[in-house]
Amino acid sequence: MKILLVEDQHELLAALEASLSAQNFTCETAGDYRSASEKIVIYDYDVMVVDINLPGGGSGLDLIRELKTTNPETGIIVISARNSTLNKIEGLELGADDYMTKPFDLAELTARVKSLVRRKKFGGNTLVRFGNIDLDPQTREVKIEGRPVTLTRSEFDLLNFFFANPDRVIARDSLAEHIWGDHMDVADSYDFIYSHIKNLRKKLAAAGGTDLIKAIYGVGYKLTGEPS
Amino acid sequence: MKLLHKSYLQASVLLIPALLIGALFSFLIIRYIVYEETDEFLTYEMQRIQRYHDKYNDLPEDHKAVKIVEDTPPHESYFRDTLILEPADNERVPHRELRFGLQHNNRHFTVVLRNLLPGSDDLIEGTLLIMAGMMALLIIIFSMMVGWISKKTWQAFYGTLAQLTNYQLGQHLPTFPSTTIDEFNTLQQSLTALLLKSDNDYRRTKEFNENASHEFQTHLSVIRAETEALMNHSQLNRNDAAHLSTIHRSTLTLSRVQNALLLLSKIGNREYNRPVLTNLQTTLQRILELYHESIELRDLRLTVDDEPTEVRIDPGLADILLSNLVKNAIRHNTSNGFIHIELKENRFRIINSGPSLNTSTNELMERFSKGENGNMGIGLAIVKQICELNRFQLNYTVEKENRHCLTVAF
Repeated sequence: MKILLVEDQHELLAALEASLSAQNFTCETAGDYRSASEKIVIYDYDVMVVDINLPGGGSGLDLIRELKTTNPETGIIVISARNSTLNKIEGLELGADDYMTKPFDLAELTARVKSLVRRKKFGGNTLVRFGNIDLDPQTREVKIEGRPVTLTRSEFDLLNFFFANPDRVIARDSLAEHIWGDHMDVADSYDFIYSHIKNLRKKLAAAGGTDLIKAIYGVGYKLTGEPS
Repeated sequence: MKLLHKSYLQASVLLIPALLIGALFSFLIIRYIVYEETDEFLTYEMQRIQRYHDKYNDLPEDHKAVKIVEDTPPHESYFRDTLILEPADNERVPHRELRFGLQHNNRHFTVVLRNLLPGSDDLIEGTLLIMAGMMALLIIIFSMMVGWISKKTWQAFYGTLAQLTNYQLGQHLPTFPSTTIDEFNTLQQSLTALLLKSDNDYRRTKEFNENASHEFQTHLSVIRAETEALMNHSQLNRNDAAHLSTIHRSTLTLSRVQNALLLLSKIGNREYNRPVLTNLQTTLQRILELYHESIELRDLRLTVDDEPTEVRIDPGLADILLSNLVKNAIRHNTSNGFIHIELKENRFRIINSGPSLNTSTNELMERFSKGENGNMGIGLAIVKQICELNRFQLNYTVEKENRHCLTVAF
């Protein structure tokens, strides 16, 4: 999987690259409009992650337009520091697949990139398996050794998020934000996440699932184990 | 009250003393003339009688003398006023008398000539009628003239006023109607300068807000990404993990505060103002769906009594308004507490159990008023601002047993 990261903030760009490379994506980076524009003409990418505000003569929206003419198959995720509905609508109308407002979690970005890649490449067959647990993001079904496990919406979202970010410590805040967005108080999220994870592990254990979710003291949780 | 009506009214009030003074003058003048004429008439009659008597030693056949009495000499002629009972309508009627002496065959007589005078009441009535008539005529002509002139003169003023009323910050500056009147020109110039300044300030503030927000969020992204990277170091000890967790969490809080403040200033700047008829019941149900997990996890009893309620409001703001109130009721609740929501009869009411308040409810609606967990009160400040923008009545009371009751009347 080849990803083009376009972001003018160099520290953030480096962090994005490190995070996505750790998940076995091949990343290329561009710090301004011109170099990004050159790259999308020369190379093919599976996904482009692009900031709207860019130096170098054009905006992220211009890049989306160009990409849509040269390589319409590429998935596009827009990241913007402006929480502007107008920008969002324009980006999505131009053919972007997703829109994220800064600051976002790298785990969240990884999950979105993976979900986008799945949608683009497999067109339906999207089963992910860790241990003996199968998860289908499209149908929102979880099976252990072929037997379905019933999860609540939040529990499923949590598990799905873990499956998209294996072997990565995910902060409790990031989990809370992934599930509830702004609708949860930061102060409350710890308790809620704790009880949700407890229920999720209980359900998975009761169905005979491998115990994959490991608590990392003081920080959050981590999905351990190789995909199988 | 309109400027013109006010002028008319004040002018009319001032006309009343003018009317009274005018009436008094007219009365005095008319009375003076009546006396003058009556006296003149009586004097002529006296002279006629005297001349006739000198010539013929007798009185003329048709004379106006009402009384001739024998008297002691000598005396001058003099006038006097008297009241004579008029038998026809049994009323004392004022008369003017002229008394003069006449010598006839060595006897002295006093001759009394008398003529009717118009009564004072008749005079007053007459003068008042004349004055009132004149006034009415004057007022009609005056108002018509003033109305016509004012309309022409004040046209520029009213045009300017209309432009100003319709103006909203961020729009094109209004072009005021041209006028030849210096005062209006000055007014328009001052207004234009003022509008230009506030428009500039508005744009600068808006730009600053957006730029500041952009920078904040970008660098918060970096902090967050770096923190996440550190969290994934395998040799992380517990202490470091706790520090990282705090940093991570603070960036999240900071970015939310920043977004809330930006939202607050955007609402204040009327950037969210596309009101349409919105069914708040749908909005409420969608929000409750989002929060039902929070409510369940906190063991709160939720009761909802709603009916379709259509209100003119920007749908985005309706969402923010209701979700802030619901979030607030969940956050500031007690364990095993309750939330009761009513949406009917053109008002939204949310009642919840909660802690007792040390501060006044008004203070809670200021931004950054601290709750007991150090929560900043931007949520309620946003609610207040949305209510102000849409002219909703917002009322927040704490009833007995710490029942917090917040009502928004549309």
